[in-house]
Amino acid sequence: MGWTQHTVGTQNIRAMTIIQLLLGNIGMAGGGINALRGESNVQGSTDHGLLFHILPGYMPVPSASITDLQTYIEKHTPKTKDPKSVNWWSNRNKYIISYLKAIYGSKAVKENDFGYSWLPKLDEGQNGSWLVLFDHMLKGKFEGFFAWGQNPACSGANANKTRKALAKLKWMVNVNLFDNETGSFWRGPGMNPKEIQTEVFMLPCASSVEKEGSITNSGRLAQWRYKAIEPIGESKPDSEIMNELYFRVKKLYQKQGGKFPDPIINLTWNYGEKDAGGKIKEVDTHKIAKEINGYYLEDLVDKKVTPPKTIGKKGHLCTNFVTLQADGTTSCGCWIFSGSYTEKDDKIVNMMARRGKKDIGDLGLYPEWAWCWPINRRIIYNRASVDLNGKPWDPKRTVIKWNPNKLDPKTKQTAPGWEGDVPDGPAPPMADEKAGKYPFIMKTDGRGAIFGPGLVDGPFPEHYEALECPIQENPLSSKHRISPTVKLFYGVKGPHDAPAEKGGLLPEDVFFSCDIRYPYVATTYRVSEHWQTGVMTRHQPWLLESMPQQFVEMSEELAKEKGIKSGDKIKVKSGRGEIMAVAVVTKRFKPFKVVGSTVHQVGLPWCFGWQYPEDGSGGDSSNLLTPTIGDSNTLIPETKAFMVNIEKVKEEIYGKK
Amino acid sequence: MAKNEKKPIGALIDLTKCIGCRGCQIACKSWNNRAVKKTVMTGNFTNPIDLNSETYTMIKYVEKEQDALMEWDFIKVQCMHCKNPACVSACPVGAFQKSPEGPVMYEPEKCIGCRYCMMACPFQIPKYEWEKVSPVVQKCTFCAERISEGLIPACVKTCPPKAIIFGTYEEILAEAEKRIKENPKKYVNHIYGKEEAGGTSWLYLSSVPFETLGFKMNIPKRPLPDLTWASLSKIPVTVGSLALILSAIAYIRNRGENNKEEK
Repeated sequence: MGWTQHTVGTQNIRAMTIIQLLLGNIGMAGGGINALRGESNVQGSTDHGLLFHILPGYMPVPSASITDLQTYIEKHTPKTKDPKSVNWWSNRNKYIISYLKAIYGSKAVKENDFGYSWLPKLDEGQNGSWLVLFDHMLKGKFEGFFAWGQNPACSGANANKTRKALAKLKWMVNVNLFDNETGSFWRGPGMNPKEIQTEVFMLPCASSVEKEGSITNSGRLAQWRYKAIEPIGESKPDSEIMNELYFRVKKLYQKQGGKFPDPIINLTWNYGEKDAGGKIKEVDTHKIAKEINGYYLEDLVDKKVTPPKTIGKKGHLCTNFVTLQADGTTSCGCWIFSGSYTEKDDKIVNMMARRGKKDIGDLGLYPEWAWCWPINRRIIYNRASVDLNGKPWDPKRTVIKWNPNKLDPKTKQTAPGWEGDVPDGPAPPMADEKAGKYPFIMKTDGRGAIFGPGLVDGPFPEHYEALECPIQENPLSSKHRISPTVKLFYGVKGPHDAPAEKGGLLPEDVFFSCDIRYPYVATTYRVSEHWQTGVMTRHQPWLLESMPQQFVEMSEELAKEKGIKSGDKIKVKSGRGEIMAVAVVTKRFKPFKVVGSTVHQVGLPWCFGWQYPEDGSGGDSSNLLTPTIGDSNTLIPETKAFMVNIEKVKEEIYGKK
Repeated sequence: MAKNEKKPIGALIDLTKCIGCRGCQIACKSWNNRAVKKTVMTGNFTNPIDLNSETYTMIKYVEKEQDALMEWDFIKVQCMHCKNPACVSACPVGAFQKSPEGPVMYEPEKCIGCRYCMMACPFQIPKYEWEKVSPVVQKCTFCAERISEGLIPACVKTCPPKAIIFGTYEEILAEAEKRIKENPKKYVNHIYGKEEAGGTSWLYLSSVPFETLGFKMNIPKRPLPDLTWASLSKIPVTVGSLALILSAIAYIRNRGENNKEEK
């Protein structure tokens, strides 16, 4: 995950992907890239459309210039003439139409483009990612903000800018387990509550053990979790909070009309029994999971085979996404999850709740434990793990293999097929001239690609320095110190460019590269005792006891140079803010030799905040120091490399607000 | 395993497997319902800095350098549950008892606060509740109440890399010996606790000499009680009174601080 938190984050990942591809490790057991996410359900939230530019199931959010469904489908459906390429995205029409049927139900019909015009659209080139959102917020372009399960006043890069931006809001809804630095920003350090007009609403929500639902890890394994205890006090599960909000917003639209009521009025919301007013009394998570899996909306028969075969009966749950249709006869909230909550022998089965412990081989795939998208395939691109004849490259760790003598368990007749993991499609191996398929089924040409279209930088990874760095020139390319494709929030040359009166250069976005006032490289990281910004863990006395305060880790060499000892109180300062920290001098940090000079680095955890512990003894977020700059493609903030200064301070620094 | 109640129990800590997550420290606090004492960063990741009356087990972090690369050693500390505990023999009122299954048990109702146990313990494990009005001694219980229910100790149960294993003493000693035999290059040829203080229920394996990790190496191999009682019996009874006075001072001082906070 840390690899992504650089201006060259995407290229860091690409470099590793190229190496894995060249080593032939894709699709192999133990191969590929294992993304260690920063949160247990990042995969699940991304799968289901959390990001501004992705609809559930990795379908692009339409741009405003595409005004009808057919154009959207054409633009986003890749084409190939190669019969050996599966080109799976050629199914785009089935997935987007089934998605529209899931969210707009009977209101989505062929005549109205299945409600395509109700989908939210992005302006051409519009970016709605984190840094841009808070930039716009500070410029007064927002009235309201739902801080849902997050703590941007501590978690986001350049937290001072974020905190100032919150003060520009008319209202903010803070949905969290506890009040945090975001909900209480108006009474935080440097804030004058009298001058802040933002109205803050705190909606206490249930923790993960107080509600039921699925969680998906970066291995795409969706595991069902059960409610252990009832939510405490007035807190509610997120789904109940959304249910309350939805019902009220819908009612307002019904009463008052409004600019664009259709997307809200026409939304399906069949998640349980309704009360007299039409509101769902209690949200049934299983109903949501079923909607995501999808339903057959008609009796479906495959007429291409003789005799015609039933695909599914009206009202039943879809078997998997292979059976989804492009004519509005199926619904599916997220096509990659189709098959996760399905029917077997007329019994409804929540596949994610399975707990079978049988393994195949000894690879630890455990195919009967929970459910993995797509279609319970544990290793994607697994057809790349076999040779042209379907024999595993590594027979000791067989993921799949082709068995020409495989017996059909029903007919007891020979029916050649794959054994092992669920293969990327049932087609025979590539040696089969007629029916063989390439392994990279999501790629238009069916092949793995070292580079390709779609990114703003590349085609090959190149070395660029961080926005803030200790050297004047990029030693590997004198033309560009930083990546020429990054979105800069401030002038290229740094503080010497005076901020323009108009045009949006904010002093908050200042940076100082190769500046003697900020001579040390800083990086941020986590500690095992705290979770994210610590909202859930700082309130836990045992965890706070074992990791109580903001610290700054540094090498013995730097400590000696600065006359610092372990345990000393240190002021850490960047161009954007300063924090207090306790010095932790370790052998883990070592000075670097960079282009002939010694460069020191310091490390800071980002799990603390001023609001709790209440005596302020924890210190404040290290994101007060980090700059407003992100990766060229993703705009993930560059919180892994920036410049600071450190200074030993004498006075007692803790316990003061 | 634990159903085998008549056989003495034991636990093995394989320090090479510990990842320093402090899961044991937190699980112990959770099961035993321990409070916290205000801590600060002292420049090391060990926190609290030592066992105390609210902390029965904890991880100590030892930093070292090998071939110019920094490495951590993580050391879990808790009561060793000696086979012949010095604390049991030092206790004049029988507040400490060695149970046949292995845990060294403590009954606070019997305790008179003399703290002979603290002086007798070769591993400096029992801790006194200095800040309380009627203080008692506190230490790891080996989760005796869990074990009597057929459960394993809380710290063992929570350990993600299975650095701690639990079983009958025979089983875990055999396992420790097996690991050294199978990986003589990985481990130093020393099972800490096998002979120290006449043998303890908790055993340790390490890849580096125990003295480099802060383990006490000068502990006699024979059971301590006969040695300790001989010297402890000469300590005058006034020590007990001193304890009372110290407690009173601690109480008054803390009360003062509490008052300050309220203001």
